Amino acid sequence: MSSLDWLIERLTQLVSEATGALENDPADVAAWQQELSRQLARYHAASYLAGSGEATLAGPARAAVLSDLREQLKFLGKFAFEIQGAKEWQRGWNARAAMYAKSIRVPYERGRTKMLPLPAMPCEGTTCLTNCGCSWEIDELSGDGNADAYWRRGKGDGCRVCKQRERDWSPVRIRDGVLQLG
Amino acid sequence: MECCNLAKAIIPKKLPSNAQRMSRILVNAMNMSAKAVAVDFKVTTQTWDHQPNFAITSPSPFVRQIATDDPVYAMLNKGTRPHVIRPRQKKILRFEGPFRPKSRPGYIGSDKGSQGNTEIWARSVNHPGTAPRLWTKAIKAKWQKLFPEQLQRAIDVEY
Repeated sequence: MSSLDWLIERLTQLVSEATGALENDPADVAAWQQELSRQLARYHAASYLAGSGEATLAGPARAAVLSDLREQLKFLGKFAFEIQGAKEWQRGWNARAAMYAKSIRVPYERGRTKMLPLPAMPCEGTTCLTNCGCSWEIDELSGDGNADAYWRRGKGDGCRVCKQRERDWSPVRIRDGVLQLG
Repeated sequence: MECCNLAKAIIPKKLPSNAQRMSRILVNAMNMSAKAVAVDFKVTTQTWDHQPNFAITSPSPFVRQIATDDPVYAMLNKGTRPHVIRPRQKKILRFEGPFRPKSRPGYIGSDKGSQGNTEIWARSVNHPGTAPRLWTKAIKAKWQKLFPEQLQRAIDVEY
Protein backbone atom coordinates (compact mmCIF):
# COMPACT_ATOMS: atom_id res chain seq x y z
CA MET A 1 0.00 0.00 0.00
CA SER A 2 1.48 3.40 -0.94
CA SER A 3 1.86 6.14 1.62
CA LEU A 4 -0.92 8.11 -0.10
CA ASP A 5 -3.32 5.17 0.06
CA TRP A 6 -2.51 4.73 3.74
CA LEU A 7 -3.12 8.42 4.45
CA ILE A 8 -6.41 8.38 2.52
CA GLU A 9 -7.57 5.26 4.33
CA ARG A 10 -6.71 6.75 7.72
CA LEU A 11 -8.37 10.08 6.95
CA THR A 12 -11.46 8.33 5.56
CA GLN A 13 -11.76 6.47 8.86
CA LEU A 14 -11.48 9.66 10.90
CA VAL A 15 -14.00 11.47 8.70
CA SER A 16 -16.43 8.52 8.85
CA GLU A 17 -16.19 8.39 12.67
CA ALA A 18 -16.88 12.11 13.00
CA THR A 19 -19.72 12.01 10.47
CA GLY A 20 -21.21 8.92 12.11
CA ALA A 21 -21.23 10.76 15.45
CA LEU A 22 -22.93 13.74 13.80
CA GLU A 23 -25.58 11.48 12.27
CA ASN A 24 -26.44 10.17 15.75
CA ASP A 25 -26.51 13.66 17.23
CA PRO A 26 -27.09 16.21 14.45
CA ALA A 27 -27.13 19.17 16.84
CA ASP A 28 -23.44 19.97 16.81
CA VAL A 29 -22.56 20.65 13.17
CA ALA A 30 -20.01 23.31 14.16
CA ALA A 31 -17.96 20.78 16.16
CA TRP A 32 -18.07 18.33 13.27
CA GLN A 33 -16.93 21.03 10.83
CA GLN A 34 -14.11 22.04 13.18
CA GLU A 35 -12.96 18.43 13.56
CA LEU A 36 -12.97 17.82 9.81
CA SER A 37 -11.14 21.10 9.19
CA ARG A 38 -8.47 20.10 11.70
CA GLN A 39 -7.98 16.66 10.17
CA LEU A 40 -7.95 18.00 6.61
CA ALA A 41 -5.23 20.50 7.57
CA ARG A 42 -3.10 17.78 9.17
CA TYR A 43 -3.47 15.37 6.31
CA HIS A 44 -2.97 17.94 3.57
CA ALA A 45 0.41 18.77 5.10
CA ALA A 46 1.24 15.11 5.67
CA SER A 47 0.41 14.09 2.10
CA TYR A 48 2.58 16.87 0.63
CA LEU A 49 5.50 15.77 2.80
CA ALA A 50 4.89 12.13 1.84
CA GLY A 51 4.88 13.00 -1.86
CA SER A 52 7.89 15.30 -1.79
CA GLY A 53 9.98 13.34 0.72
CA GLU A 54 10.73 16.54 2.59
CA ALA A 55 10.82 16.90 6.36
CA THR A 56 9.21 20.33 6.71
CA LEU A 57 6.59 22.35 4.93
CA ALA A 58 7.69 25.92 4.33
CA GLY A 59 7.77 28.75 1.82
CA PRO A 60 5.93 28.41 -1.51
CA ALA A 61 5.12 24.76 -0.77
CA ARG A 62 3.31 25.72 2.43
CA ALA A 63 1.41 28.45 0.61
CA ALA A 64 0.39 26.03 -2.14
CA VAL A 65 -0.86 23.42 0.35
CA LEU A 66 -2.79 26.12 2.24
CA SER A 67 -4.38 27.13 -1.05
CA ASP A 68 -5.46 23.50 -1.68
CA LEU A 69 -6.80 23.30 1.88
CA ARG A 70 -8.71 26.58 1.60
CA GLU A 71 -10.51 25.23 -1.45
CA GLN A 72 -11.67 22.15 0.47
CA LEU A 73 -12.69 24.18 3.53
CA LYS A 74 -14.85 26.34 1.26
CA PHE A 75 -16.75 23.25 0.11
CA LEU A 76 -16.91 21.96 3.67
CA GLY A 77 -18.46 25.22 4.85
CA LYS A 78 -21.23 24.92 2.26
CA PHE A 79 -21.80 21.28 3.22
CA ALA A 80 -22.06 22.17 6.92
CA PHE A 81 -24.57 24.90 6.09
CA GLU A 82 -26.63 22.38 4.15
CA ILE A 83 -26.65 19.89 7.03
CA GLN A 84 -27.59 22.61 9.51
CA GLY A 85 -30.55 23.67 7.40
CA ALA A 86 -31.92 20.19 6.75
CA LYS A 87 -34.81 18.67 8.69
CA GLU A 88 -33.37 15.18 8.69
CA TRP A 89 -30.18 13.32 7.80
CA GLN A 90 -29.86 12.68 4.09
CA ARG A 91 -28.74 9.41 2.61
CA GLY A 92 -25.47 10.06 0.79
CA TRP A 93 -24.06 12.57 3.24
CA ASN A 94 -21.77 9.95 4.78
CA ALA A 95 -20.35 9.12 1.34
CA ARG A 96 -20.07 12.80 0.48
CA ALA A 97 -18.10 13.48 3.68
CA ALA A 98 -15.79 10.55 2.92
CA MET A 99 -14.90 12.16 -0.44
CA TYR A 100 -13.00 14.89 1.40
CA ALA A 101 -10.38 12.33 2.32
CA LYS A 102 -9.47 11.85 -1.34
CA SER A 103 -8.75 15.58 -1.70
CA ILE A 104 -5.30 15.01 -0.17
CA ARG A 105 -4.29 13.46 -3.48
CA VAL A 106 -3.74 17.00 -4.81
CA PRO A 107 -1.00 18.07 -2.35
CA TYR A 108 0.56 14.61 -2.61
CA GLU A 109 0.94 14.86 -6.38
CA ARG A 110 2.09 18.45 -6.01
CA GLY A 111 4.86 17.27 -3.68
CA ARG A 112 5.79 14.34 -5.88
CA THR A 113 6.11 16.43 -9.05
CA LYS A 114 7.21 19.77 -7.62
CA MET A 115 10.31 20.14 -9.75
CA LEU A 116 8.39 19.86 -13.01
CA PRO A 117 6.19 22.34 -14.91
CA LEU A 118 3.33 19.93 -15.59
CA PRO A 119 0.20 21.29 -17.32
CA ALA A 120 -2.29 20.03 -14.71
CA MET A 121 -2.47 17.92 -11.59
CA PRO A 122 -4.86 15.02 -10.97
CA CYS A 123 -8.23 16.44 -9.83
CA GLU A 124 -7.36 19.80 -11.42
CA GLY A 125 -9.88 20.62 -14.14
CA THR A 126 -11.21 17.06 -14.34
CA THR A 127 -14.85 15.98 -14.20
CA CYS A 128 -14.01 13.23 -11.70
CA LEU A 129 -12.77 15.86 -9.18
CA THR A 130 -11.55 14.24 -5.94
CA ASN A 131 -12.38 10.80 -7.32
CA CYS A 132 -9.57 11.22 -9.83
CA GLY A 133 -7.27 8.22 -9.52
CA CYS A 134 -4.84 9.41 -12.19
CA SER A 135 -1.18 10.18 -11.61
CA TRP A 136 1.93 11.33 -13.42
CA GLU A 137 4.64 8.85 -14.30
CA ILE A 138 7.93 10.68 -14.55
CA ASP A 139 10.79 9.46 -16.71
CA GLU A 140 13.84 11.55 -15.81
CA LEU A 141 16.30 11.97 -18.64
CA SER A 142 19.95 12.89 -18.68
CA GLY A 143 20.73 16.59 -18.39
CA ASP A 144 19.36 19.16 -16.00
CA GLY A 145 15.62 19.80 -16.23
CA ASN A 146 14.92 17.07 -18.80
CA ALA A 147 12.07 14.63 -18.35
CA ASP A 148 9.19 12.93 -20.10
CA ALA A 149 5.99 12.76 -18.08
CA TYR A 150 3.09 10.42 -18.80
CA TRP A 151 -0.50 10.94 -17.60
CA ARG A 152 -1.59 7.54 -16.28
CA ARG A 153 -5.30 7.06 -15.93
CA GLY A 154 -6.50 5.54 -12.68
CA LYS A 155 -8.06 2.09 -12.75
CA GLY A 156 -11.70 2.38 -13.71
CA ASP A 157 -11.43 6.13 -14.32
CA GLY A 158 -13.90 6.89 -17.12
CA CYS A 159 -13.64 10.68 -16.88
CA ARG A 160 -13.63 12.18 -20.40
CA VAL A 161 -10.98 14.76 -19.49
CA CYS A 162 -8.64 12.14 -18.04
CA LYS A 163 -9.11 9.93 -21.12
CA GLN A 164 -8.09 12.81 -23.39
CA ARG A 165 -5.15 13.72 -21.18
CA GLU A 166 -3.95 10.13 -21.34
CA ARG A 167 -4.05 10.32 -25.16
CA ASP A 168 -2.42 13.75 -25.46
CA TRP A 169 0.03 13.70 -22.58
CA SER A 170 1.88 10.48 -23.28
CA PRO A 171 4.28 12.03 -22.88
CA VAL A 172 4.62 15.75 -22.24
CA ARG A 173 8.22 16.75 -22.77
CA ILE A 174 10.24 18.98 -20.49
CA ARG A 175 13.58 20.19 -21.78
CA ASP A 176 15.92 22.50 -19.87
CA GLY A 177 13.11 23.05 -17.37
CA VAL A 178 10.64 24.25 -20.02
CA LEU A 179 7.41 22.47 -20.87
CA GLN A 180 7.42 21.86 -24.62
CA LEU A 181 4.35 22.59 -26.72
CA GLY A 182 5.01 19.87 -29.27
CA MET B 1 -8.85 32.00 -27.36
CA GLU B 2 -8.91 35.45 -25.88
CA CYS B 3 -7.49 35.41 -22.43
CA CYS B 4 -6.52 38.10 -19.98
CA ASN B 5 -5.40 36.36 -16.86
CA LEU B 6 -5.12 38.09 -13.52
CA ALA B 7 -3.37 36.10 -10.86
CA LYS B 8 -2.06 36.76 -7.38
CA ALA B 9 1.17 34.85 -7.25
CA ILE B 10 3.02 33.96 -4.08
CA ILE B 11 6.57 35.08 -4.73
CA PRO B 12 9.50 34.02 -2.52
CA LYS B 13 11.02 36.86 -0.48
CA LYS B 14 14.44 36.46 -2.02
CA LEU B 15 13.60 37.17 -5.63
CA PRO B 16 16.76 37.37 -7.70
CA SER B 17 16.61 39.70 -10.66
CA ASN B 18 17.18 36.92 -13.13
CA ALA B 19 15.45 37.71 -16.38
CA GLN B 20 15.98 34.22 -17.74
CA ARG B 21 14.26 32.67 -14.74
CA MET B 22 11.34 35.08 -14.92
CA SER B 23 10.99 34.42 -18.63
CA ARG B 24 10.97 30.66 -18.00
CA ILE B 25 8.24 31.06 -15.38
CA LEU B 26 6.01 32.94 -17.80
CA VAL B 27 6.70 30.58 -20.71
CA ASN B 28 5.97 27.54 -18.55
CA ALA B 29 2.75 29.03 -17.16
CA MET B 30 1.58 29.90 -20.71
CA ASN B 31 2.51 26.45 -22.04
CA MET B 32 0.76 24.68 -19.15
CA SER B 33 -2.38 26.67 -19.76
CA ALA B 34 -2.26 26.14 -23.54
CA LYS B 35 -1.87 22.37 -23.25
CA ALA B 36 -4.70 22.08 -20.72
CA VAL B 37 -6.99 24.24 -22.87
CA ALA B 38 -6.17 22.18 -25.99
CA VAL B 39 -7.19 18.99 -24.15
CA ASP B 40 -10.54 20.52 -23.23
CA PHE B 41 -11.22 21.55 -26.83
CA LYS B 42 -10.59 17.97 -27.89
CA VAL B 43 -12.92 16.74 -25.15
CA THR B 44 -15.74 18.70 -26.81
CA THR B 45 -15.31 16.59 -29.98
CA GLN B 46 -14.43 13.24 -28.43
CA THR B 47 -17.41 11.34 -29.88
CA TRP B 48 -17.45 13.09 -33.26
CA ASP B 49 -17.06 11.08 -36.46
CA HIS B 50 -14.51 13.57 -37.76
CA GLN B 51 -11.88 15.00 -35.44
CA PRO B 52 -11.08 18.71 -35.81
CA ASN B 53 -7.45 19.53 -35.27
CA PHE B 54 -6.61 21.99 -32.47
CA ALA B 55 -3.18 23.48 -32.93
CA ILE B 56 -1.21 25.42 -30.35
CA THR B 57 0.89 28.23 -31.78
CA SER B 58 2.94 31.11 -30.35
CA PRO B 59 2.19 34.30 -32.29
CA SER B 60 4.54 36.11 -29.87
CA PRO B 61 6.75 35.00 -26.93
CA PHE B 62 4.08 35.47 -24.26
CA VAL B 63 0.96 34.68 -26.27
CA ARG B 64 -0.43 31.22 -27.00
CA GLN B 65 -3.16 30.53 -29.51
CA ILE B 66 -5.26 27.39 -29.60
CA ALA B 67 -7.24 27.29 -32.81
CA THR B 68 -8.98 25.11 -35.35
CA ASP B 69 -9.95 25.84 -38.93
CA ASP B 70 -12.77 23.30 -38.86
CA PRO B 71 -15.89 25.02 -40.25
CA VAL B 72 -18.34 22.67 -38.48
CA TYR B 73 -16.74 23.44 -35.11
CA ALA B 74 -16.88 27.17 -35.78
CA MET B 75 -20.51 26.95 -36.82
CA LEU B 76 -21.55 25.03 -33.73
CA ASN B 77 -19.48 27.18 -31.39
CA LYS B 78 -21.15 30.39 -32.60
CA GLY B 79 -24.51 28.86 -33.47
CA THR B 80 -26.65 29.42 -36.55
CA ARG B 81 -29.80 31.41 -37.24
CA PRO B 82 -33.08 29.80 -38.29
CA HIS B 83 -32.91 29.02 -42.02
CA VAL B 84 -34.71 27.18 -44.77
CA ILE B 85 -33.14 24.08 -46.29
CA ARG B 86 -34.09 23.24 -49.87
CA PRO B 87 -32.78 20.46 -52.12
CA ARG B 88 -30.05 21.57 -54.52
CA GLN B 89 -29.96 18.93 -57.19
CA LYS B 90 -32.89 16.67 -56.47
CA LYS B 91 -36.52 17.70 -56.07
CA ILE B 92 -36.98 16.42 -52.56
CA LEU B 93 -35.02 16.21 -49.29
CA ARG B 94 -34.46 12.89 -47.53
CA PHE B 95 -33.09 12.61 -44.01
CA GLU B 96 -33.47 10.61 -40.84
CA GLY B 97 -34.78 11.57 -37.43
CA PRO B 98 -35.37 12.21 -34.62
CA PHE B 99 -31.95 13.80 -34.27
CA ARG B 100 -30.24 14.04 -30.90
CA PRO B 101 -27.10 16.22 -30.87
CA LYS B 102 -23.80 15.08 -29.36
CA SER B 103 -23.17 18.46 -27.76
CA ARG B 104 -25.04 21.10 -25.84
CA PRO B 105 -24.45 24.77 -24.95
CA GLY B 106 -21.74 25.44 -22.38
CA TYR B 107 -20.90 21.77 -21.86
CA ILE B 108 -17.24 20.77 -22.13
CA GLY B 109 -17.79 17.29 -23.46
CA SER B 110 -19.63 15.33 -26.12
CA ASP B 111 -22.14 12.54 -25.83
CA LYS B 112 -23.22 9.68 -28.10
CA GLY B 113 -25.96 11.52 -29.94
CA SER B 114 -28.27 9.92 -32.47
CA GLN B 115 -29.01 10.32 -36.16
CA GLY B 116 -32.40 8.68 -35.71
CA ASN B 117 -33.78 5.82 -37.78
CA THR B 118 -37.05 7.19 -39.11
CA GLU B 119 -36.90 8.18 -42.76
CA ILE B 120 -38.29 11.66 -43.46
CA TRP B 121 -39.05 13.16 -46.86
CA ALA B 122 -39.80 16.87 -47.42
CA ARG B 123 -39.68 19.48 -50.19
CA SER B 124 -38.09 21.96 -47.78
CA VAL B 125 -37.38 22.24 -44.09
CA ASN B 126 -37.50 25.20 -41.72
CA HIS B 127 -34.40 24.56 -39.64
CA PRO B 128 -34.81 26.30 -36.23
CA GLY B 129 -31.11 27.17 -36.07
CA THR B 130 -28.47 25.75 -33.74
CA ALA B 131 -28.01 27.06 -30.22
CA PRO B 132 -24.40 28.31 -29.82
CA ARG B 133 -22.28 25.83 -27.88
CA LEU B 134 -19.96 28.64 -26.69
CA TRP B 135 -17.14 26.21 -25.99
CA THR B 136 -14.55 28.98 -26.22
CA LYS B 137 -16.35 30.92 -23.50
CA ALA B 138 -16.77 27.90 -21.19
CA ILE B 139 -13.18 26.70 -21.58
CA LYS B 140 -11.80 30.21 -21.16
CA ALA B 141 -13.78 30.70 -17.92
CA LYS B 142 -12.62 27.35 -16.56
CA TRP B 143 -8.90 27.88 -17.21
CA GLN B 144 -8.86 31.53 -16.19
CA LYS B 145 -9.98 30.31 -12.78
CA LEU B 146 -7.24 27.65 -12.70
CA PHE B 147 -4.44 29.78 -14.19
CA PRO B 148 -3.21 31.06 -10.79
CA GLU B 149 -2.51 27.42 -9.79
CA GLN B 150 -0.48 26.88 -12.95
CA LEU B 151 1.44 30.14 -12.52
CA GLN B 152 2.21 29.23 -8.90
CA ARG B 153 3.47 25.82 -10.04
CA ALA B 154 5.73 27.49 -12.59
CA ILE B 155 7.13 29.71 -9.84
CA ASP B 156 7.56 26.77 -7.44
CA VAL B 157 9.64 24.92 -10.05
CA GLU B 158 12.15 27.79 -10.15
CA TYR B 159 12.55 28.25 -6.40
